[in-house]
Amino acid sequence: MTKSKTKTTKNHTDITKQVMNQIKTGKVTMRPKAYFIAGSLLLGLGFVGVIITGTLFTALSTFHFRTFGSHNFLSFGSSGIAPFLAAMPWIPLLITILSFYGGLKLLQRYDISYKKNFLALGIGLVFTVIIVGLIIDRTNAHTRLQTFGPVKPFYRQHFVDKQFIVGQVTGSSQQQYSVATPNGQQVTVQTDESTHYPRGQDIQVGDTVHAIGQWQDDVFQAKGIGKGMARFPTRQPFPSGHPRQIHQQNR
Amino acid sequence: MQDISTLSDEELVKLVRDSDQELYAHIVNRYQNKLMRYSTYLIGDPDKAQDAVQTTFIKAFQNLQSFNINKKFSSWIYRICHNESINIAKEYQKESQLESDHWQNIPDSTDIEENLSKKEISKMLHHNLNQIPVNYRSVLTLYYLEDKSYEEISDILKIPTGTVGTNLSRGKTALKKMYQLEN
Repeated sequence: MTKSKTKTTKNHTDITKQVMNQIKTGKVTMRPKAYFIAGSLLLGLGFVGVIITGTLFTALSTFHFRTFGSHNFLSFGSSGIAPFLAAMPWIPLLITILSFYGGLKLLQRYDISYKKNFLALGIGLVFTVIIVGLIIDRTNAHTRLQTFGPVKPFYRQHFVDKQFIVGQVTGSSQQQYSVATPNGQQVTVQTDESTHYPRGQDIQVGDTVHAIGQWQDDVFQAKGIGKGMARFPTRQPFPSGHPRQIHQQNR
Repeated sequence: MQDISTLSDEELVKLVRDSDQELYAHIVNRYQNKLMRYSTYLIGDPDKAQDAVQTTFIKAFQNLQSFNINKKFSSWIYRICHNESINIAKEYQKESQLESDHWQNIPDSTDIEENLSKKEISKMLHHNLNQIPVNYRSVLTLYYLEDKSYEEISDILKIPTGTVGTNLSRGKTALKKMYQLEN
């Protein structure tokens, strides 16, 4: 017992000696207060940053769904699934989800995360970001945001794809429509007896339309065409990026 | 010259930070026994526990400026020791067959806890500690062997006080079952 106690005492003295020796010789030094202040500031800025990013991309995703109406491709049935997936704003949605995840991980660094109900805090945070994002979407913020460098590329939408067209009817003749996309492209959409009209066949000049199908030379053969599915904002121009001209690649 | 022994931990930390780093030896002396005991309970090996405790004091010194004087130093340094000990325990110790998932399905049985004094639980704990999953082991050790309150355990382990209670309850149930099986 005594031997054990002596060994324990020796070991404990060794700890003090070892630790203090490293301190006195300078092998171990105290980090300055500024180091931790900077750390706290970075954590705070990071947290605010992911919240802002989440809010922004929630607004962007909502804007896309609201104006482009990619979910409307599903009204074409199974034929609309591929265009729907192609037209989804995957990157803004992914960034939104990653922002939520980042925000929750950073929230865990604060004591409040275990002193309070973390599930409630997390749900509250996500809910608040979504609500604020939806509110921003309804303001004129997009007019400014789509000219803001880092965000601008996410506003580019391609309305002409190898499997769909989205635009506004500018002219119609027998089984043929002229469609203008919001970024200035003019396309010809051809229909036939097999074309599916999920929202009726009375498509007029001025109606916005979604069409699915494929290209034959410079004419888009519509397998389905639906009106009133997109709501292009009338006041704000779309960025004049380089719309994908997939149909030309199919020649 | 002020008597160091009468100073609180937080006052001593302030002195170490602001004027005399050699006073850190007093902090080490105050906590080395407690932390050695706690770390040994977690790891199960005194030699490795010593490594963990030494690393704890070194890291505590390096990060001493981050400690909030308005909080309890005890909880702060136990937290560092807990993290170091868990890292070593995971590295060197094979996982207990009694995984914590297995024990989560055990209902909280207050009738098992009745008639069990703190002394009896401490005795069972000493006997069966290494067989208990780490998350229950730490809570049981801090509460029954280190006499920490729920709030202190919450601050050390960074878990809600409700979870402290739940893990304590499940840990006691597991302990009792083990003890019954053996006897």
